[in-house]
Amino acid sequence: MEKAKPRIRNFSIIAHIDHGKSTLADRFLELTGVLGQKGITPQFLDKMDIERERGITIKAQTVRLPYTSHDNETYILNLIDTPGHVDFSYEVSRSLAACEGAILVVDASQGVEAQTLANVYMAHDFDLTVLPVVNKIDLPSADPDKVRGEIEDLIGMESDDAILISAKEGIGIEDVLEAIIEKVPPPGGDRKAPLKALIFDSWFDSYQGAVVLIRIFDGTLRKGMNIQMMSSNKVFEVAKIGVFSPDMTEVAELSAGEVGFVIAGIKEVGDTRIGDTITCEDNPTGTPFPGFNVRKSMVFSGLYPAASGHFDLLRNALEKLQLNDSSFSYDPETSLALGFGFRCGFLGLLHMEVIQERLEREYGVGLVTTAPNVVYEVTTRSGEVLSVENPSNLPGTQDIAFISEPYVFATIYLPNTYLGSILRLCEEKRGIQREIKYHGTDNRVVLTYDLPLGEIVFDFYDKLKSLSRGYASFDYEDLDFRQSDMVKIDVLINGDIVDALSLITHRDSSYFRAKRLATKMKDLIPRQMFEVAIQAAIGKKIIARETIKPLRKNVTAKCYGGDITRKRKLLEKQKEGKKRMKQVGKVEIPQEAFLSILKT
Amino acid sequence: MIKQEEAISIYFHIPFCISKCPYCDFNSIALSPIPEKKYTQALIEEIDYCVKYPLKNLGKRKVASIFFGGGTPSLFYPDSIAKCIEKVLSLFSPGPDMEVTLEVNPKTADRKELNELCAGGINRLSIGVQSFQDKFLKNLGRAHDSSDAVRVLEDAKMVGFSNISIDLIFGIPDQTLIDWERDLDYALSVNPEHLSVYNLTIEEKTPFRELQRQGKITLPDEDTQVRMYGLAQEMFTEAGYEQYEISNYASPGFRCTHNEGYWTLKEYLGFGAGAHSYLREGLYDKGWGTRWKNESDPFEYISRLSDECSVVTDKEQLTKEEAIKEAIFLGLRRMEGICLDDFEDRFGLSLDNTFSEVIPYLVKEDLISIKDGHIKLTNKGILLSDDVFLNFF
Repeated sequence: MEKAKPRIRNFSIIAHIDHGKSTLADRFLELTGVLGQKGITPQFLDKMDIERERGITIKAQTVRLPYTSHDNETYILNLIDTPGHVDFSYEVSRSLAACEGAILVVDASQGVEAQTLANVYMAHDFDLTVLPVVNKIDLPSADPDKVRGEIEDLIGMESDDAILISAKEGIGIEDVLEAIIEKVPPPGGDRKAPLKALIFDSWFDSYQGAVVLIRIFDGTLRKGMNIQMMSSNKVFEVAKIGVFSPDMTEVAELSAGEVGFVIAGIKEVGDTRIGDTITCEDNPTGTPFPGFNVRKSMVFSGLYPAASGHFDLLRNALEKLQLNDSSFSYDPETSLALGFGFRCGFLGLLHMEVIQERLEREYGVGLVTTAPNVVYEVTTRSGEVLSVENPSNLPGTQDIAFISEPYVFATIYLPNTYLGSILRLCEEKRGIQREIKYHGTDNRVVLTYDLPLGEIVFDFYDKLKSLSRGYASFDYEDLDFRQSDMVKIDVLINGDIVDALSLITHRDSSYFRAKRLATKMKDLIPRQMFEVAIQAAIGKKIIARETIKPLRKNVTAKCYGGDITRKRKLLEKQKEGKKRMKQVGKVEIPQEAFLSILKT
Repeated sequence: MIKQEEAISIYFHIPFCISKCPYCDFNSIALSPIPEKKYTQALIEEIDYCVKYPLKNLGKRKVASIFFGGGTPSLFYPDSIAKCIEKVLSLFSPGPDMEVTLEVNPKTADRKELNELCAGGINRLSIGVQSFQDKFLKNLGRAHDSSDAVRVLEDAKMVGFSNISIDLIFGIPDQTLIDWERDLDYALSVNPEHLSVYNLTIEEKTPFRELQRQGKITLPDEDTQVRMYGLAQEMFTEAGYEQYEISNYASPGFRCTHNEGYWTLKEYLGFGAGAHSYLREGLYDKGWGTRWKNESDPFEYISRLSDECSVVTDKEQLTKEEAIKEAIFLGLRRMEGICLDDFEDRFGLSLDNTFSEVIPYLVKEDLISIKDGHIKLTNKGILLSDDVFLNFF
C-alpha cells in the first residue's frame, strides 16, 4: 500500500446561477498564477459562447491550481467544475463524487436557492466537506447575516465561519483557498492498488478523439497502458495523460487522488460514459465506482430544417454534435406539416435548448422545433415494454396494458406568500408532496414533490415563474417511471387524423388540453368554402369540437379603373400562398398554423 | 379574330379631391387650389406625345368611350373637360353611340356646370351618391350630404342628361339591413339608368384600416353583408334592372360601355397621373398584350410632360398564361360569363379541356355553371368569386 499524495485537495463549487461561481473560479486562477491578471477572458471555465451568455456551465471543466499556503507548503488544488443545471444532475453527481470538498457560494443579497439546495444535498450524500462562502458582500443590498441564517436553517450547516467574500472585488479569495487546505481532507486511495478511475466528463476533439476527464481513486495511470471501460469492457491504449493548468499539459503519470485527462484514441464519446470506471486491462479492480447509470433521453422533440433542402445539413450537424455529446439521440422522422426531420431525445428541457442553439449557432442550421414531449413506457397486453418517444407511435388502446410516465423529484424554494398558489399548481400537476419545510426567519419555504416530468415539460415551469412572480426557484432530478392513466389525443380535421398533432396526456387534463388544442386550431385555420370540423378524440370518442364556419363572401367589389395588373398580381400572390398550404383532406392549412400549434 | 379597326376606349384620370375619404386607396390627393390649368395642359400634351411617338398608328381608330374618373373630375371646370374631349376627337374619330362619362361628386357640380358639361360632350354621369342618408355619408367621411345628392340628380335630369348612373356603398360602419333597404328604395325612386353597388372594402394603408384595428369602427357582420348584397340583387332585378356584372346593374341598353371594355379585354388608353393603358398590339407575334401605367404623382406627371419626357413607369408584356388568367377573372365578373367559343378562338385552346379538373369541381360545389356555351358564376360563386378565380390560377 502506498498512500495518495497528501498535499492534494479536490473540490467543486456549488452555486446558483449568477451567484458568482465562475467569477470566483477566475479569481482562483489569477491568485495562483495560473492565469495572469491581464488579458483573461472573464469566466474562464465557461468555454462555450452559450455557457457564457446564459451564465451556466454545460460541460464540466477542471483545472489544477498550484498554491503555496500560509504555512509555506505547496499544494495542488484541483478545481472540478460542475455543470450547472437541472438536466445535468447526474453529471453533477459524478463531478461531486470526484471531490472531497465543495465550496457553497451563496449570493449575499439573494440568499439560498433551490438549485443550491439540491446540490448541497447531493454533496452531503457523498460526504463532502462543504465550505459555505457568502459572495457579493460589496453590494449595498448584501445581508450576510440573513444569508448565514438561511444556511443554518435550510441546510442545517454551521455557518459561523462562513467566509465573506467578493469575487468581483477580489475580497477574501485567499481565505477560501486556505480554508480548502485546512478543512477539506486530502484524498485517500492506494497508488499501488489496481487502477480505479471515475469518468466525470468527456468530449470530442477532432484530432485526438475523446478527451476523458477522470479522478483516480486507486492505482496509477501511465502512458501506453491498456485501459478498460468497465461498463462495456472495451479496451484502449493510453496515448496521452495530463492535467489542465489551465491548458492541456502532459504528465508522466496520474495516481490515486489525482485529477486529469486521458486520451486513448477513442473515436466515439459514447464509449466514454460519464460515471463509468476505467481500470487496467491486465490488473482490473474488483469494485467499480458505484452509481453508474446510462443516461436515457427523457424529453423528445422534432427538429426540422427551416429551409427545405437543408435536411442533409441538419443531419451532418447532428452527427458532429453527437460526437461531443452522446447524451442526445436522433432518428429520422417525417411530418405532414414539416416534411423530413429528426426526432431527438434530450436529458431535459435545457439540454434541448442548448442543442438547438448550438445547431443554429455553430452549424448554421435554421430549425423548426416541435413542442417537447417526454418518453413513455408502454406495456402491451403481450407483456412487451415499449419506449414511446413520439405520440403518434403509441399502439392502439386495445393493445395497451398500461402506460408509465417518468417522475422527477422536484425541489421548489419560494417565499411563503406564494405558497398557496404553488401548492395548488403542484396538485394540479399531479404532484405527490414529500415535504414542506418552513424557514423560520425569512418566510421562505422549501417544497419537495414527486412530479410527472410530462407536466414540467408542458407548462409547469412557466406557471411556477408567473405565479411566484419569478421568486420561486426550482430544481429536479429523475426518479422513476410510474403507471399513470395516460391517453392519446388525436386531432381530426373533417374526419382526417393529423398525426403531427397527436399528444399524450393524463386523462384528467385531456378535456382541457383537447379543448385548448381545438380552439387554437380554429383560430389558425382560415375559413374555407365549406364548413370545417375540428375534433379532438381519445380513440373513437370525440372529446372536443370546434367548427369553422364556411367562408360566405370573398369578392372584390370594384374592378375597374383599368388596373388589371394589380388585381391579377394580387390573385397570383394569394395562389402562391395557397401552394404553401398543407392539405388535410381538402382543407388547406397554412404551414404557420401548424408551426404555431406544434411549437406550443 | 381581332379586327384591327376595333374601337378603343379612352380614360382620363383627375387625381384631385376636396377631401380624401378615409376608405379610399385610389390615386387621389386633397388639394386647394388644384393645378387645373397645368394638369389639363399636361393631359393634352400626353395625348399629343402618345400619338406622335409610341402609338403613332392609333390615330385612325374609332373611340368607343371616354371616361373621366378620379379623384373628382367634377372639380374641374367644364371647359377643361371639354378641351380634353375636343383633343381626343381631333385625333381619333368618334364611334357610333360613343359614351362619354364623367364621375360627379354631388358637392362639386351645379346646374350651370352640368349644362356646360352636357354642351361640352359629356353624355353620361356617374354620380357618387354612396348613400342617401346623412348618418352614413358622415360615417364614410364624405364631403357631401344627402340634399346635395338629391339636388344634383334633379339638376342633371333637368339639364337633359338621359344616362345617369348612381354609385351606392353597402357594408358601411353601423349600417343595418333596414338602413340599406332604405337606400335601395331611394335609389329606385330616382329612376337612374344605371346602378353600381359596391361593398365597402377596408383597404390597407387607409385611415379606416387603422380605425378598424383600434376597434373604433364596426362593420356589419358577414351574414348581414351577404344579405345586403342579395337584397340589392333582388330589388333591382325586380325593378327591371339587369345585373350584368358583380357590382353593376343597368336598364336595358344602358350598360356602361367603358367598363364592359375592361372586362372584355378591349383596348384602352389612359391619360393622366397613375392612369393605366392596355393594347393588344403584338398579339400575334411577340406577346399577349401590353399593359402600362403612368407616373402617379400629379406634379411629377406635369413636370415630365413639360420636359417632353415619357410618363410611363411600369410596362409589362403579358404572357399567354397571364392573358388567360385575366380573361378568366375578368370574364367571370360578368354575369354573361365566358363564351367558350370566344375563349377558344382567342387562345387556341378549349377552356374545359385546359381546366378539366377545376371546372367539374367548381360545378359540383355550385360555384359555377355551364349553360348555352357559357361558363358563369352561380349566386354562391359570385360571393366567393375571388376563391373561384384562384382555382384557375
